[in-house]
Amino acid sequence: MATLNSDYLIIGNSAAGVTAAETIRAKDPYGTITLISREPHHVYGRPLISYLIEGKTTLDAMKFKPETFYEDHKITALLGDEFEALTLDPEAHEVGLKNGDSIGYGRCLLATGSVPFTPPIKGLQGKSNVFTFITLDDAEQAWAAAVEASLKASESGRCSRVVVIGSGLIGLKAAEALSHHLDEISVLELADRILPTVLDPEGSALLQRLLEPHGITCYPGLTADEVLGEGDQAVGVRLTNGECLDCDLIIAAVGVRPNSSLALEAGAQSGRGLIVDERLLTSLPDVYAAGDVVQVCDVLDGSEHPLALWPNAMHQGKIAGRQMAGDETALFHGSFAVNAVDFFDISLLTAGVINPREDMGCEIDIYAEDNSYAKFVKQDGKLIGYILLNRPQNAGIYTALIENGVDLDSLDQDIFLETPQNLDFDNEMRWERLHKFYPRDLDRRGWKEKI
Amino acid sequence: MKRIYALEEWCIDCRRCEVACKTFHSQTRDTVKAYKLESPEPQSRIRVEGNKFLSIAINCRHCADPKCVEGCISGAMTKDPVTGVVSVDQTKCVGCRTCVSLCPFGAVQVVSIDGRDKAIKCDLCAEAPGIPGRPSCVETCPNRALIYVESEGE
Repeated sequence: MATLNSDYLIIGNSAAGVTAAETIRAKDPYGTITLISREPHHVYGRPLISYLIEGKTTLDAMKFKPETFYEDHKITALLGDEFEALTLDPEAHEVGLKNGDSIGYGRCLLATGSVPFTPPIKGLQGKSNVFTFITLDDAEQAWAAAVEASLKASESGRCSRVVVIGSGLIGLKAAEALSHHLDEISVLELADRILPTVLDPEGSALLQRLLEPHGITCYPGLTADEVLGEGDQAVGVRLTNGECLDCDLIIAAVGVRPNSSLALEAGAQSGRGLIVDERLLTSLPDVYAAGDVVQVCDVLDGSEHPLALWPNAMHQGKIAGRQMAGDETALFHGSFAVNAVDFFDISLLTAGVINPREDMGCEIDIYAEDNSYAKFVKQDGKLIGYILLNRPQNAGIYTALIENGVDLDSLDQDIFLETPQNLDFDNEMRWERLHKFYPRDLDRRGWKEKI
Repeated sequence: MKRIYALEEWCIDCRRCEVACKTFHSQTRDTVKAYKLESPEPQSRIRVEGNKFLSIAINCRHCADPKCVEGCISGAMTKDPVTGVVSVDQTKCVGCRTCVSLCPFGAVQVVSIDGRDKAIKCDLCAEAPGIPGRPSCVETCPNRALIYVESEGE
C-alpha cells in the first residue's frame, strides 16, 4: 500500500516540473498534485547560479515563483534528499522514495532534468575541491571554495587559480562567475575550439579573444590527463600535452546527460534521452516526461537528442501539464535550439543549425566586424540558423523566421545586414504579425466598417 | 484584453510616442528632465521603424502565449493571468537576453540601468505591475495611428 496517493505526481522541481504543476492546476482545480525533488530548495532559476556568484541576483530574487507558489496552487511539495524517487513501478502506479515511503499516482511526470557527466580523468574522483556546476548547492560550494582560495592566495602573495574542465555554456558561465573572485581562470576544451556546439570556428575564436581581458584563458584542444592531488585536495592538472597548471579548485563541466535512470530501470524506452510521443507520454503507461530528460526531434535537421535548455523545458512542461489534465489538443511537434548567454559585456545569441553538414546544401552569410560576428545559415530559401555575437538587437525576429519557415524572398534583402525590423516584412505579413486579435469591427484605418 | 495597435496608414514618423513613453517611464515624468537631467536616462519602450514615407510604431503585443515569458530563466517576465499584461520585474531580471532572442517583434530591449543589464518593455503604462494604465503613446499620438482597443484575444 502506498503511503500517500496523488492524482498527479511530478518528479522534479525545476522549469518543466513546476510549469506542468501550474498548468495542471489551471485545468483541474480539484485533483491532488504532489511534487517531489531531492533538492531542498524552493524552485529557482537554475541558470541563475552563475549570476548569484557574480552578485547580479540574490537567493531571494532568483526564486522562480512567488514564495507562496506551492500553497497558492495547492501543490504538496516534498523537497529534500529524503524525498528522492528511487523506484518507479509503472504497473502499480507507484513511486518509492528514499525515506521508505511510497506514492501512488494516477499520472506521473518525469521532469528529472540532467545530471553532470563525470569524465574518467585520473585523480578527479574523491577530491573535496572539485565541483560540478548544475545546482544551487554546487554553486554555493564552488563560491565558498573560491572565496577561501582567494584569501589563502593573497595571504601567501600569489595568484588564486581555478581550472574549468569543459568550455560549454556551463563551464564558461562558471568561469565568468568565478573570475569575480579568482585571478586566473583556465578553461580546458577537448574540442579544437570553445563552445563547440553553439559556435563555429570564427565565432569561437572571437569569443575566446573577448574573454581574455577578463582573466579567462581558454585552452582549446587540451584537456586534463590527470588531476594532481595532495590528500583530498586537487592542486593541479596535468594537461594532455604534458604541461601542468596549478589550481586552488576545479570545476568539472564536460557535459550533462539525461537523468533518466529511474525510468530506465522501470523499463522505459530510451535513445539519447527518454523516448516520448507527441503527447510527451513515455513508453510506460500514464508516465509522461518533459525537459532535459526527453529526446527531442530537431525540426531543422531531423536529428534526435535531448535539448537541455530552459525554454524547451518550460514549453514541454506546459504541454505535459495540459495532457495530464486531459487536454489532448496540446501536442509537442519538435523544437530547435535557441541559446542566449552573456559573459561580462559580451552578448551571444545562437539558434538552429550553426555548422551545417556539406550535404545540406546551405548558403552562409557572414557579417564580421572587430568585436561582433553574425552568421546566417540558409537552406532552400529559408533561414535555419544564426550566430549573433555582440549583435543582439531584435534577434527574435530572426528566430521567428526560422520557426515559421518564412520564405526569405518575401523579405527586404537588407534584413541580415543590420538590425532586423518589422518593416522588412511585406505589407500583408507585417499586418498579420502585428495585429493578432485585432477587433473584427475595425478596418485597417482603425475605422468602424460602414454598414 | 485591451491592446495597442499601430496603423501605418496614419503614422507620420513624428515619434511623439517615443517621447511620451520615455517621459512616462521617467522618475520626474517631465519630458525635459527625462531627456536632459535624469540618471539613469529613462528609456522608451516603443520605437518607430521607418521614415517619412512608411513608418510604424512597435511595442509589446502582450501575446496570448508569450515566448519571452516561456523562455525567461529568472521568472522576471510574467503574463498576468487576469489582465493579460506582460511585465518584467527588474529586480529579478539578470539581462541574459533570452527574451530578446525569442520576441518575434523586437519589442523587448536589454539596456544598461545603473550598470546592470535589464530587460525593458511596454507595460501599458501600468501604475502597479500588471494593471494597465492609460498608455501615453496612444494618448499623445496626434493622428490616431496608435489605438488602444478591446481585442479579440486574451
